[in-house]
Amino acid sequence: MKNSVGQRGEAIFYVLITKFYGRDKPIFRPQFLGDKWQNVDFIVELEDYSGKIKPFFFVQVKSTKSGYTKIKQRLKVKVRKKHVLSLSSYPAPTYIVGIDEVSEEGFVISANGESLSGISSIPTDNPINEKTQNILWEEVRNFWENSEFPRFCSYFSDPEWKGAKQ
Amino acid sequence: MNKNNLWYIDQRAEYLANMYLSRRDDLIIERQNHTHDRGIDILIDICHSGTLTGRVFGVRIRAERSASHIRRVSHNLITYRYPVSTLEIIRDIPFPVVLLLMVMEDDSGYYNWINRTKLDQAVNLSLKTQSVPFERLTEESMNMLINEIDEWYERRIGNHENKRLV
Repeated sequence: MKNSVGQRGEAIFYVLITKFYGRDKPIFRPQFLGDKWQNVDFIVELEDYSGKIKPFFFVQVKSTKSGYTKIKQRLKVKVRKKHVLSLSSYPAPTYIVGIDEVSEEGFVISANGESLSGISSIPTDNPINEKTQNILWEEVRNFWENSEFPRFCSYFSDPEWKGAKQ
Repeated sequence: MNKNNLWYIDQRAEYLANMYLSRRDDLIIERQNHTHDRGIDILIDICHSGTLTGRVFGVRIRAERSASHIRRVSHNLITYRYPVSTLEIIRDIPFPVVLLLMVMEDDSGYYNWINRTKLDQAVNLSLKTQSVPFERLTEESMNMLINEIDEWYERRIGNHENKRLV
């Protein structure tokens, strides 16, 4: 009998991505999507953003107790090709975070289509720390600020609802 | 759980507690529904050799943003003014309940018993707050905690057998 697979990794990710680093509050607000959500584990919103849109990104957490490869010290987590394709299909920034359950560290890699094959390990160049948090926050913010969205007029809009969108 | 009504305190404290507790692989951790305060935030099953034992204990989480309300006695021992009147709800819970204090500033965790054999021995519920000692959550203190809970159940079994003999 064990805890649900990935539960510990999800807890570690949440703690790491919301670490304060002396700030008044975290710069990310993650929300676990539930075990039934097939492709991603968390939706993460950017906090302290004052623009018109609410930037967000998706995260798939992969955790392991198997440690690292011998030569390149890559974290041994597997992501199948089918899953990589699914992650890259999201129109929002999407990342895989590998969690070392022993050291309670997490490492970020992009899953935005730069590569579409499966992987058996991920690099540890970007551990979740204050610096990585800042880079990630700015990268996601820049993505949404530089994205152009066509004006969207829904069939389901309410003509009685006053106040035009700014 | 004390309601700071701030997700980055309350919700984060739960994930942090989960991270600490899941360092042991003999504990099944089950988060409780927070629609109503039933006294515990997490219910934990103890396993031996991967099999459920039927021994459970509850965890009630208190979160603090910083260590400013904590008095440090030593590296592993602190005292904290706990609102003990809020513990009335756990008086009739028939299994052990552990109080966890999680500090967001440095991700530290501390514990104490708030319901051993008799609640009155631990705290004085007639007081609004009471200075309560807490021990730092470490691998060693977790081992002691689980051993104490096992002993609590062993004594309980012994008491039942004695009653049958009478």
